[in-house]
Amino acid sequence: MKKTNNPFYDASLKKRHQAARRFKIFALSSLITAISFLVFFLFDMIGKGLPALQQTYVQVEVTYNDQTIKSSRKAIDKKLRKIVSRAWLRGIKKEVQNNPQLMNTTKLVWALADDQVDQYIKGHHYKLKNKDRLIVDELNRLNQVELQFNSIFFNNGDSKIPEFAGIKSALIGSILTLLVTMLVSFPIGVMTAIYLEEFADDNKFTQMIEVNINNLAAIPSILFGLLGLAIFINLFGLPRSSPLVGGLTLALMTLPIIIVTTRAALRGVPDTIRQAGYGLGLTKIQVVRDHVLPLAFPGIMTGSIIGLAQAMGETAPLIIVGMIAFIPDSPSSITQAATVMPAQIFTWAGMPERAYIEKTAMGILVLLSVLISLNTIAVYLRKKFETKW
Amino acid sequence: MKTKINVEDLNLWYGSKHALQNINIKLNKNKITALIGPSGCGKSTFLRCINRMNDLITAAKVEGKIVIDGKNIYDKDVDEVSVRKRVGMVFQQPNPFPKSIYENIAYAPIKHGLVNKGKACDKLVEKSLISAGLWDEVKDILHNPGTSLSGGQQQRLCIARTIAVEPDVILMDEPTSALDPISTEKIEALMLELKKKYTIVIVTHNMQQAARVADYTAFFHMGDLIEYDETETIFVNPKEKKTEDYITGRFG
Amino acid sequence: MLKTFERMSETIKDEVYIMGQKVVVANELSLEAITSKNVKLFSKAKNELNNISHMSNKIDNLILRALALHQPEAKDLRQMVSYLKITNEIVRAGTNTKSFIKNFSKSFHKEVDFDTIFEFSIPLQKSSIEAIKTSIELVKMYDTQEIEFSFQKVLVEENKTDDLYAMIEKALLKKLSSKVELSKYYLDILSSLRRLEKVADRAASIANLLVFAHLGGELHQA
Repeated sequence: MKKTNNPFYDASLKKRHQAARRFKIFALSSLITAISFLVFFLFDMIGKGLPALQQTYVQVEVTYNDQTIKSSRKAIDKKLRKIVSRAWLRGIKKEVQNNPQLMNTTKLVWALADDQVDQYIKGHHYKLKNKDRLIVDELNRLNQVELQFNSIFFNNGDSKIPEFAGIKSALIGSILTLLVTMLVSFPIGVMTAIYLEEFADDNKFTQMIEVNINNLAAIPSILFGLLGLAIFINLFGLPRSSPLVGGLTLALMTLPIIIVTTRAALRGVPDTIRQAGYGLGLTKIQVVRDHVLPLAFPGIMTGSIIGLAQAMGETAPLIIVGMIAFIPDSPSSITQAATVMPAQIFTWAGMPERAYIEKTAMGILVLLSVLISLNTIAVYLRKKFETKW
Repeated sequence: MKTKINVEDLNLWYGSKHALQNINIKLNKNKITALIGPSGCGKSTFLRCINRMNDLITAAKVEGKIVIDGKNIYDKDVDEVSVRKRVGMVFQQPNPFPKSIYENIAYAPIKHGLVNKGKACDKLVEKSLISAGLWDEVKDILHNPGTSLSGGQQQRLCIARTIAVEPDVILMDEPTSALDPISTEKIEALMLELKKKYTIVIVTHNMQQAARVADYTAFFHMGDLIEYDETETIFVNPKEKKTEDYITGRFG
Repeated sequence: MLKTFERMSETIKDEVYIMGQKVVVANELSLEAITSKNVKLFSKAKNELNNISHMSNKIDNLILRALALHQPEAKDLRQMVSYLKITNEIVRAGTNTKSFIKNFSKSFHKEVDFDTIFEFSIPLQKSSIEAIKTSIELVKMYDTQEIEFSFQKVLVEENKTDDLYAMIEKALLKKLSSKVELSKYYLDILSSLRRLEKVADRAASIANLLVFAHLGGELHQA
């Protein structure tokens, strides 16, 4: 900037631009810090969790006959007993039932290895006795040890035997719970918001309700668990640990959020639309149902899905209503005992066996994927309905 | 000159503010009456009394009578919804529904039971669009969203929508203040056509618009009706000094 | 343009034309009165001009109304302002015509040499009529070329009247000096003929204003 002949020269500009630059750098570094926390977390989880996608299998001879079916640990060589998974051996009976030809044969099959062998192969801390380790090394040399895709993780429920533990029952439990939550909180929440926004008079009573709903959204979630315990389990006598109770409790928790976001979406509809409707001689119901709601719908959708995604990750209230129990089998109805993914992760994190570490991490990754996809659906739905207006 | 709307001793309070003070005025049938005055003088408030839109505001309290076709619209046995069917309103900001052009016009008549879906409805939509001078421009795009039209077209769509419910009176609250001069001219020409069938009351802060289109003009100031006369008298020989000061730009 | 203003504009134009035509007809009747020696036509001519002031007021009020209600601009504004001034000019032309008729009828005396007079006065009257007639026709014209052509014609005729009047003035003053007892009559005739020349002046004014209205420029006294 030349001083002479330049009508646009301003002496204070240099300092102002510098201050702006400093502010920009500060904001950028905050962003980088936040992102690096996130990246570190993801890397850690992925690093710990990915190995869980694979399980060690050993190729050994398995004998199928009456004796081994009754006493499965006799189906393999004695020295391999610490190496092959006991739980897998118990599955021999079912295998023969499905495939009767196997009866009275001895086959070379890929058997699930014990969790300590798995840990050894994956390079983690292990508790194998020396002789067992030597056997594994020998098998490895003969290429009879392999890492295969861990379908067990996605097909089984929880188990005290680490190599047999899976996330399926928790996943189903989560889905059932969420369904109950959605079916209860969405209609009630949206209707409440519509009443408060469009029909209620603007008096002290309504204002008090509004303040209280906003406060409810900020209450620690564990208190909702106590509420659920007191009302649903003690008063109504609903089955403990069931997705029904869990869903209802989470519904109570999600309700304020849905009400608040729906009200915001309704407020976002320009008042001119309502005025046009009333000006044509339409009744309030006609205006709200046919003109305001369709416009508010994207906002309602987004708010609800975000509320539900939050509910999916809640653990504390569900612990109080009992969903922390050990649930090996997937629930088949909403009144059976179940657990949810966050609770499952919590349980695994507290197990002594090292093998659970990777399962915990993998569980976290599965939960994260579900949450991210829910949020993506929310974004997609919002975009899809927004273009209409 | 027949009276269509007879306003007697109309008073309105917004909370404690006395917004309209003892308004007495006879609005004539099939004529255009313009309400002019500075900002905040109560002309829009008065307009919104004629179709009871002020009932939607809880803080508004109305006293007095507005008699249309022999019946006071503020009587206890008159439903405000039915008033608004006979007295339509066009707003300052064009506000078509976020639906197709066809549905914008068809929705209210169907709800009022004037037509059923199908051929009768198609005819009504066509008739309304022709009356609003919009048919030629949109007859091939009836299923496009109403919001895809230009500002002037949107306002004519709103006018078509209003006349589709077959009102007697059309109220217009500054209908062209958000539009460009060409669109404004089109709508003013439209008003001159529409007055053959409807009684029109228009609020405008643009005096020249009142001069161009209105048969009668009413000048409001601070909630009072100062002068009401034929437009030519108001603009050439106003009787009240306040009127003259406003018209000549001495204030407001 | 709104239809209401269009109608107002047309009405004003028509009324101005009608008013102007009255002056034209009055002049034509007075010419006929002289050429066919029919004195009754003089009173018919005067009757044509009876309501001229009334018509002028009516048109002026219409113009006032148009200005108040429609705030015309550009060509529309020029037209309104021109017509406002033209009504004045037409009234004055009418007054001039009436004066001509009055003074000329006063001057009938058998000793006055009307032959010489008519030699000049009839062409003067004809020119004057041509001028005022063409200028009133300008009210209804739209084509630029036509307007310019007619405008030139009016100016030409107006010049002719000036020349003719100068010649008559010379001739009559000579006659005056030779026959002093007839001087009153000759002076009456001279002043009445002067009125005809004034009608042509008014015609030129009107033509100027109409050219301003159609083509633009500045308003100025002709």
